[in-house]
Amino acid sequence: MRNNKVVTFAAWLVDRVELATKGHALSGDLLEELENGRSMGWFLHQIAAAILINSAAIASRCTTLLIFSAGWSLLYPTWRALCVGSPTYTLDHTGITAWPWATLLELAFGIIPAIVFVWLGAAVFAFLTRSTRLFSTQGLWCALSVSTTVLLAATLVVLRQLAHPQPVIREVTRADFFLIDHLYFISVPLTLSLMLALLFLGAETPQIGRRRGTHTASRLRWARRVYSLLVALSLCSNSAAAQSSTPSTGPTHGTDSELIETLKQKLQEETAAGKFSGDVLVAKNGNTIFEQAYGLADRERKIRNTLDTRFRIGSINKVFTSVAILQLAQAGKINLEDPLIKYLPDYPNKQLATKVTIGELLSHTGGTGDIFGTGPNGLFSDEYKAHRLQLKTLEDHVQLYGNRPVRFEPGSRFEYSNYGYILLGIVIGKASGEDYYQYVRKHIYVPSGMKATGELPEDQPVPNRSVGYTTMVGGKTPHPNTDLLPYRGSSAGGGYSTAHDMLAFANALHQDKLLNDHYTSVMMASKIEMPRDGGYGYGLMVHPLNGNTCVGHAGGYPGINTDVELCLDSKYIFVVLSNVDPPVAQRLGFFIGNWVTLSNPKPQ
Amino acid sequence: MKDQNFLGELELMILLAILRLENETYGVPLARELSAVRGRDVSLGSVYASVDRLEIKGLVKSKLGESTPERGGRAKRYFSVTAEGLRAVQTTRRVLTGLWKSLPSREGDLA
Repeated sequence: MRNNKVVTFAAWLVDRVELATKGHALSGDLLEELENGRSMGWFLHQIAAAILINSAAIASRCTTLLIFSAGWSLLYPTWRALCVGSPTYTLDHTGITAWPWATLLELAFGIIPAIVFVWLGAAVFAFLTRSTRLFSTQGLWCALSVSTTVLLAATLVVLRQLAHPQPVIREVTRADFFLIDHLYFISVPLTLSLMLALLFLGAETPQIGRRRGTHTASRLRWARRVYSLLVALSLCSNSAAAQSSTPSTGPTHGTDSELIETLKQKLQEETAAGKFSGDVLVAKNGNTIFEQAYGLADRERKIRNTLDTRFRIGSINKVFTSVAILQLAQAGKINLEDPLIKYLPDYPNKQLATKVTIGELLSHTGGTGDIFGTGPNGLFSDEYKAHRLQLKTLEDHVQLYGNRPVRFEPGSRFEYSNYGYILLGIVIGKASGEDYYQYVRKHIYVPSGMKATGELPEDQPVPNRSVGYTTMVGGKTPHPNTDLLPYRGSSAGGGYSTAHDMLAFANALHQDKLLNDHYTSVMMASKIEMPRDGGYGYGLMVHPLNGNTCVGHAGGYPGINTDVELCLDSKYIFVVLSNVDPPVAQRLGFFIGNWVTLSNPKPQ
Repeated sequence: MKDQNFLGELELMILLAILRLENETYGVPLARELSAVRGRDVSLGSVYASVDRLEIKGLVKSKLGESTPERGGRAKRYFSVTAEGLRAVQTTRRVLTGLWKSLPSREGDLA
């Protein structure tokens, strides 16, 4: 009878579901009873009962472990946030920058906290169930290595899922591990990994997850309390994380040192969360009171942003163009009331050039249309994409767009126009007799003391020029914006500068070193209301804020966002330059502008 | 563990049965003993489940013994009641006896 396959299989089955009993004594007992003359029916009945009882125990245990693991992994965002900061960043100064070590370092920063988190979870569970004394070394090693393997594999899969367009392992940075999507995705493998670890540990610990018995019941009540605490905690941390994306939390006004403290914390958090990367500078009465660089300038080569990093400044070149036009107006070489055709007699569309004045181009009221247009992805027209790299000089733009008609009665309304500022760049060249690029260098950069500002083409090497990272054209993982950039910076935007240079420019402007008092005031006076965001002067945005005024300009492009503002009659000047997508720099700029205007009410 | 820790019905029966079999018993005689006293068959699976719980509570300890051919090469698991187990049995006995005393002695009155 013992050789019967059914019997062997049944005994084997019982051995498999056996959780706690040692040495397969249960199946042994049943086989012995069968040998002693018990009926086959009795044997199978016993087998079925044993399987049922043990399966129920396994299910109950798995549920307990699953609930604990899921609860624990909810705490992961908080843990992640705790892991960031000085301990991890101090390691950056070891000077490892070459592939593959730099990337391995980033992966280690990303994965080690997750592994430690799982191990901590297992330790906490063991502590709660007081089962540590039953852990065997073998079980412990097994559990830890299984959980680590699961996590490593899952992390790589998640990175791959979130990468765009191709998983570029060389470009992985620790910031990738803070993306909200990553945190969502990784919670599943975290739970799984912790549960597996506990299961493996549990192979030696029969009491885990047992429900009955007064002692375990009280332990279970304990565990329930801990679960609810964990869930409550994680809900708090998650909602806090959600709130941190809106600028409303925390203080919004106070002294300058409070501003700096709040700003520091905000910048650290945003950098850790992968939202910010760039330089921030705040100056009061011409003296810098805060300057700091955050994040990476080049994620592939692991080069950090410094105060010497050159950032593409987007539309801030328009401010230089406007200063140049006003300098020429001040010198009597340009009249702002003159039509465009006076300076560009060969302009293809004569009707447009006769109607539109220089002043209207400066205040975006010329109706000359734009360069980029609006394509299906909301960013670039096919026309622009097709000609992006052919538009090398300012005149190339006229050749492409010069036959377009005027879009509305010039002066009647505001319509932001990069093309208008391209035309102004050509006007500067004609009126001054110098090349636009030479003109701004000689008359603006040099007198202001701007040493690192320029507009060299993107295909030329520029030391310390950061790489812009974007998710605006698809993908969830930021990738370089190299394929989207114009051939080179122009009078409408696209040059590069540093935080120090931007401060030098702002100081020179408000100290009337670039223009006389009259023309500086003309430049800063609002000419027309913008649809949102206040008014527009000549190459400057005018923001009324809390009874005060900030004037400045922002720049935005995929992987580029900048904001330079002069608040309270230039008492406060701040610069935010970043190599990530808008609107982070403008949001931070608004935070600073709001703070200084709220904290320094205008005397009535 | 020292606090109010009453035994379940099957747990108490198992402890008593192990004591009765003089602390040197394994699954087969234990289940037979229980079946005989109760007058109906006992599932070995549930016996093991209870014994495991008792072992976690420290009331029973077990050790693996010899394996015999008729057991398919599987070892016997011998059970014995610990000192703590003995105390638990005595406590339960005292409480139960106290409760029984307060009831009328004639069997019919219990219905």
